[in-house]
Amino acid sequence: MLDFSAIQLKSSFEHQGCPLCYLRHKDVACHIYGVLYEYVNDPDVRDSFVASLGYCRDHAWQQQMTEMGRCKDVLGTGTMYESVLQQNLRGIEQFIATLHADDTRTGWLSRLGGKSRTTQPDSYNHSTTGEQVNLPFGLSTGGHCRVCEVSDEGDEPSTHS
Amino acid sequence: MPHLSAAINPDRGRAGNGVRDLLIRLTLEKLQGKARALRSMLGNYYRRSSKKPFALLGTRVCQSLIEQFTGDLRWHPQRDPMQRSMGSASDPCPVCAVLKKAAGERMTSLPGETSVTSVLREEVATSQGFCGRHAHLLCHLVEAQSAGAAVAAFYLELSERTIAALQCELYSPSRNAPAIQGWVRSAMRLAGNRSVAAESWESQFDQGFACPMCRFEANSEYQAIIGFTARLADPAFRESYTATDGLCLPHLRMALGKTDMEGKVFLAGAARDKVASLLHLVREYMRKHNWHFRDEPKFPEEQEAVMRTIRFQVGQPDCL
Repeated sequence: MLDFSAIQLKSSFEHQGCPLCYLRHKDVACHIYGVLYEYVNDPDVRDSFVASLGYCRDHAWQQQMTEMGRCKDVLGTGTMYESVLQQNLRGIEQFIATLHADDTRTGWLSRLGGKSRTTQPDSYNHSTTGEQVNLPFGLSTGGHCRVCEVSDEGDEPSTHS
Repeated sequence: MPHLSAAINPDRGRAGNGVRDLLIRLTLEKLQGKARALRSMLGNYYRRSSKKPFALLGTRVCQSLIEQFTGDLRWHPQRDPMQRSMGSASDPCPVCAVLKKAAGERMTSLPGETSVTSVLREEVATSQGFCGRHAHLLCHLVEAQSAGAAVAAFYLELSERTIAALQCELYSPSRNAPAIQGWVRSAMRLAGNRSVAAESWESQFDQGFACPMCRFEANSEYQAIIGFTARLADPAFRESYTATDGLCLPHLRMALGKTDMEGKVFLAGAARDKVASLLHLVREYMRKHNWHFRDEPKFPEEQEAVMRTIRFQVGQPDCL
């Protein structure tokens, strides 16, 4: 007797191309639609959404397109991104405050002939250049795209099946 | 291929030797069939030495090979032209715009016959073709330009290397060794001086995949950020910058790492104003969806606010 993932896998053979890629895209589409349909105001979902400052590029646009395609507006997406924008604003203001504090300290120390210290708690490592920039949460993310995580989790059982 | 690798890798998959053999045999059969068809079509094409476009069938075979190597993206909404048009966004981040133009020009030149240099072919073969995003962009270009021959040559070479590696895996005497490592080692033995196949498998599936176009984009992005931050001292440039939507968040992070204190203050201040304005617009958009405020006029900038927010968070959509 086939289990549920095997049945899904079998039905995916009806489509052209790689069956696992098909299942992966289906999972992602279902997850995004499920969130929009039912979990826009769910605190846990919103927390993880804000922690990763929304989804990654592909999934962020997919979310917008899904809602626009199905509902002809983007109220759910907008509601979720409102919290992200609030966090962005907090992060930027914190960053500006840190810059001003650094500036004041640099002025003080330069007058005394010393050097400024620019160590902050959070840091963002730019992948291309390898440079370290200290950015607070809101400018830098605090987590990974949840949809990517979901699709990676979904890949495992399909691969085993 | 990524899923095949995961399925036959003993560290990730739970497939036994029999299932692994079956999967490899099936893949080999398909790959050999496509490679054979493509080889004969390319042979015919070059024999004719005419300027006629590459056969449509060849283009289709080539596209299916591309999909086999990079994974299938046909169900992704961004690959659907109707859906893409909904996500199209004007007035992008300046670095995104430069990047899109540079990558577009580079990509458009790829299917051209003149670009098929041995260096480029070796580069593409080493990286096991392009990543999913760029491979599918290539698919569209191949179809639009009717210039599949060059891309077919890339992928034919890649298929031949892969067939060699897979056959080696299938008939390797040391079957007890972990599959991927055995595969890579045996491919290396078989290939002799053509050890690129083995290295590329290893690099793609075990150490991360460096698509040539991704490398090109990363380089262009870096140059664009350097150019952008160098011009930040110019007051006229700053003035025109504040009139636009400004940098998206990923590029803002990069720019903040490349500029001096004055530049940081300017960029952060501009970003704060922009985010505050977006937040206000998104709230207005949400408020006007309420029944009690249904009679209030809905302005275009409020309707676009969510799209602009996403563009700010992640950059431009992946327009193919």
